[in-house]
Amino acid sequence: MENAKTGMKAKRLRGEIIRYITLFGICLIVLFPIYWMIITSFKPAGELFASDQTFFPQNFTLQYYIDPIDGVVSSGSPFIGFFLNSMIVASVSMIICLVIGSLAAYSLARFELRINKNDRLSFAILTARMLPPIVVIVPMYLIMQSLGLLNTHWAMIIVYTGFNLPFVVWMMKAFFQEIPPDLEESAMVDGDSRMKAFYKIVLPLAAPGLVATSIFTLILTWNEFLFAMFLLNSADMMTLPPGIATYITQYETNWGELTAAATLAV
Amino acid sequence: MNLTIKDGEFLVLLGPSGCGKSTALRMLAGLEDPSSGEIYIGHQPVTDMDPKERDISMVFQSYALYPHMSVYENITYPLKIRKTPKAERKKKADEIADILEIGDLLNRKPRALSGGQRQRVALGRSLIRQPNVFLMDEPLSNLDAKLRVHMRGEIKRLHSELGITSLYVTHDQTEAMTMADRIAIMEGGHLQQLAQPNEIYHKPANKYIGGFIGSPAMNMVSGYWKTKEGKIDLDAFVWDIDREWQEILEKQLSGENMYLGIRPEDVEVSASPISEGIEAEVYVVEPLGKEMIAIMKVGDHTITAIVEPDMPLDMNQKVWLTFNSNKVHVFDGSTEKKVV
Repeated sequence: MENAKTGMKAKRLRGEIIRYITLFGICLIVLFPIYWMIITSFKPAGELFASDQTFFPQNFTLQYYIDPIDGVVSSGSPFIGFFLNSMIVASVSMIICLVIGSLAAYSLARFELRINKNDRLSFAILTARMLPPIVVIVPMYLIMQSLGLLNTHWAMIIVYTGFNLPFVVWMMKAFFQEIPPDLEESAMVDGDSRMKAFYKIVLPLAAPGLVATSIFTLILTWNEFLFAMFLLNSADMMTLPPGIATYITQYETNWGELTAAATLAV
Repeated sequence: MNLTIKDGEFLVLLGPSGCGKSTALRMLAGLEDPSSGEIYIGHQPVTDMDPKERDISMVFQSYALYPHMSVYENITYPLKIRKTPKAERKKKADEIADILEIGDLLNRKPRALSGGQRQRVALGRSLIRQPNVFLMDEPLSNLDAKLRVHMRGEIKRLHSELGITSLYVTHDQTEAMTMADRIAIMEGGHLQQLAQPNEIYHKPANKYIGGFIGSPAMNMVSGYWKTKEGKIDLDAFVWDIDREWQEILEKQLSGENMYLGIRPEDVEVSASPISEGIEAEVYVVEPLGKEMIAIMKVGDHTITAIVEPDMPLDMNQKVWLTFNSNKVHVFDGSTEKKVV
């Protein structure tokens, strides 16, 4: 009996060890490029292309972090500008997404369409995410051109809002469905309008969902490269992903600056 | 459905689940739109009004306390919406907390309360602004049996103190019988009977109500009315009836099919033979302490009776049943309406 127990314990322990080793291995593979990016950003130019690469910079330098602030950048691309552009585009589109998306999600969660086709409507909303972005990039370019919005923040905000809304609607719908309708009905009987009950009772209860959703949309927008690359063409409008890509020029790649910018962007 | 609630009355809407009683309540609250018909509160038509314009309050089955607010904030929420000054809110909350004995819970969150306490908070939130109409949707069904009996009394007491017109929805006939000024029984979306509890019990309008109200349930025996012979044929036995009854049955019954309803407490059981008694066999006895329930077989019929707790009855023993013809209910076989 005692033996069987220790046998079980040993077996479980072995399982644990194998699991952690596997996880560690996966982490190593996933995190290594990021680690390499970070140490590269601290290596002086000479070390970057040295024949014997080291896992830690021999001569530590902050040059690539300080230079952009002083404006002395070889490629002439202002990192801070990219950063601000990304912030503006990501946060504005996130706010619009949350406002429109949570209202849409609430109505889908609570009301039945007269024709009883709520599921189809939800699905239709999701179809906006089904095309790969590259497919719609040319039409999108032409639309923005005819609206006169090429190379503006608004173009990016509109595109990102459109692309992220389905996610927001679907995520928030699930959160709202978890909240018992009795609560807002009670608030309405107590004297609130439907809108006020939503704002004062339902939204505070869905706060964790709102936070999760906003982080999610923020990450999606922050990392988006393709649309930003096509719809923005001057350096003073660019967001981080295409901005950082400008460090790769026709003749050389400014690895130091690129990795420093990328490290900050992450 | 046509239903008028008197001012200050405590009306209970009673029916099995799915009979439409909650829907009726929600329509009155404005949470659901009636497909047709009109709703008035006082003399004011409210059919197209939003819930907030109707000056009603409601206790939900789930209590629907706002989880992110403290008990105090929950109770005063209706006042806050109406922009009542802070000092007055505090005063009223203290009053209500006193009545409901929840004064020491005001700073807690709903999740830290027991079922009975939540129930009181929900009541407090509904009562704090003295609404025109007070609606309750099965407010006691989530409580344990002992607490339910206690809160039943409390709610009745509160109603008599505050005198607010109340509509109470339940599927529990004991709650309905004990609390109501009048009971409205609903089934299949229709109002079956609207009367005082005693009248419902002693004069059920139809076979459904007869069987629904009362525990143990009314004995319901199907039979035939033999016009020519002036007798009721109940398969296992034939019942001779007097002239007066014969005339009534003749006039009222739509066919020869009928049901005979007898309450268990109106059945007399005798262990020794009685000449006009009906011979039966004891099937099972269930002692309850203060009384005993005896279930007997007469042919294919099962008859339940309430007897003295010390009556010596064994299974399969032969007994003789009698009943007072004044206490017998007769229901029409096809319309199921009460005839006598």
